[in-house]
Amino acid sequence: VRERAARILYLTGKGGAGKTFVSGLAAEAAVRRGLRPILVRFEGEEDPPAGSQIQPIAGVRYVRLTQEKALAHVLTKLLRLRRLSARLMDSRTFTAIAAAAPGLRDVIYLVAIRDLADRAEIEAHGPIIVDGFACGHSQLLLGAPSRVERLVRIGRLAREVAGAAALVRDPDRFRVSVVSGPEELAIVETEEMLAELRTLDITLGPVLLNGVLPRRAQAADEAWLARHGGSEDSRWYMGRRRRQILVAERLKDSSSEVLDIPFQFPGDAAPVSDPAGALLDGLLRAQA
Amino acid sequence: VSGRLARLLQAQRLLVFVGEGGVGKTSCAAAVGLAGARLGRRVAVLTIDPAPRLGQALEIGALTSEPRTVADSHTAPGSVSAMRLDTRATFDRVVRRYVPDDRIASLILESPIYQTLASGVGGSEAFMALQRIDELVLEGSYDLLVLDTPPAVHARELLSAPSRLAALVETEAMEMLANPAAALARLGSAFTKTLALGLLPFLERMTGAHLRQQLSSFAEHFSRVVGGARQRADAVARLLAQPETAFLHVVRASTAGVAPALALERSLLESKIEVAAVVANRMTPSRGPDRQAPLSTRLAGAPPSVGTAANAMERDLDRMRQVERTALARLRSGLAELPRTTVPAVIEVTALEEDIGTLSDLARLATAMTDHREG
Repeated sequence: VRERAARILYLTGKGGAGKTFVSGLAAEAAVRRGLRPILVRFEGEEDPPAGSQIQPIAGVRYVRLTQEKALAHVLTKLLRLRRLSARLMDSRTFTAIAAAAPGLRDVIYLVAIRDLADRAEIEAHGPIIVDGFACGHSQLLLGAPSRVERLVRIGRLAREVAGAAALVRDPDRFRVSVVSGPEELAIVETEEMLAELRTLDITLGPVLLNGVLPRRAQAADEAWLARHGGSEDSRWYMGRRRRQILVAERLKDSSSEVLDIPFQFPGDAAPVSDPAGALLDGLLRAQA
Repeated sequence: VSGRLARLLQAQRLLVFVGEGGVGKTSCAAAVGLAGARLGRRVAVLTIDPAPRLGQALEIGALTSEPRTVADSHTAPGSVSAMRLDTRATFDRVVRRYVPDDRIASLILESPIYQTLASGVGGSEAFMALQRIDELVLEGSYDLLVLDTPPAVHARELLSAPSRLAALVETEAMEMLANPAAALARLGSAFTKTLALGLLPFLERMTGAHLRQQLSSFAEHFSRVVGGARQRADAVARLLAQPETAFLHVVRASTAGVAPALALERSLLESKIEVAAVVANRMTPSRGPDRQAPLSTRLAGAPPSVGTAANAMERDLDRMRQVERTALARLRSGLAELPRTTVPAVIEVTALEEDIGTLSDLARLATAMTDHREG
């Protein structure tokens, strides 16, 4: 069972860093490896779906997880009665309690994901790729089991929380990767987020550096252009690329593993390197 | 001084920057603050960005919840003070203001429920942003406030924050936990009563008594805080709706950026907010005059590989410009289709050469913003 256990890749990062883009790349890489990935997206008030921009990938199962869906799932499980849980969901009273209890609304997402992973295992689906919340919210989400464990000590809910906590802490099954843009501010925030995530009991995968401009000129040609000028656009392009490389180097000094995802111009063929594949292989190899 | 933004800087009291994460709201807010000061206004920039970089760029060290003033060589004849919105510190102050009894205030401040709430869930971040604006308005030392909204908090949440936070503690749910007997007596139908009566033991079983106790004592004490703060928050919510408040929506002109930007506009319109302008940030600079001559002329005497490389880079930037133009065209037609009285101006701000790291970088951004292409 352990061999087949559906693994979970949770992607987070500053808004606009490209979490959705990278989660799509990872799902594609899984399909290329003959797997049947599940791509989980959250939908809530804070995260309007990018909507029409998302092109479905053949072979990927999509799961949209809303707070209501996750809560309904957990309730049905706790009460073992679908009808009663539906009634509770209709009750403003109950949903208010669920929202007020600290961490509870985050923990229910993790319980839902864990159950999704257990089912996926039986149906030979996997891995599960979670297009997660932005930095701050993800920290709350991933830290929720420990916080809720302090509040909810006994009862069925406590067992569910313990299950979610065990999943998040399982280095074989649960990996968190941060997606970052190659700009100064984005890198500073990524470094802060990594420091915060290291305080939680989770396993961090590689950082994904998304959008570094591809190199178009060899060093000698760059030097010639810098010395003689002649192309304002080239000067601008090289300058931006140089700054991106500089901040990327800093990130590489402070993080154990960084995978580059080059900027993809429309109409260009996909690059030869396969960072999403490398990311996925790391996750799938985890139990070894 | 001309231009849409400059006019707003002179006329408004509160500028609220909204937009998706990563579009550059914080830098734009700081730059606009500098631009406002150059027009003679006393500006306070309120950011939620925890990164120390903005404080460094403004050359005033780490930002705290207390205002720090930027060196006046960049801000004359006006002034700029900047501060960070510290949800927790503001929340603590609010608790102490409305709960004079030290013992009860401490009970609230030490409750794990309060600590979660104060860390920014349940709309508390937006609520505290409003409280801080209120404090600054009452203080009266500034005539222009610039608010950089939290990335996860959409403006709509900002507007509904007071009622949502109040709903947390004022619902029958909280009442029922604090005083089950009284709450039940007021419930309507027999069915609801039965359901509610069944709910209590269920909650006990499900959570253990611990959570219920915590919730109930917290609800009892905390309702005072919300009751008091709510009145002020309502006043700020009214300020947000007044003509001297303008919303500026910062976007990236990218393929993926259009749909979320339009979704945000729709959600703002549901709250009856029409943004004053859309700021398309970090646009690729337009083609320079050098592009009029063919590359072979401009690179006379260069090895052929230089020509190949320069050609590739010029083509890449042209493709980026094309992507941006297409995205802005889609954004404009999307904006025009929304039910609003006027279509907002789209202010295109060209990307700076360097990442923003110093006060002069911010000053350059300020110039780029007030000295823009407009459409």
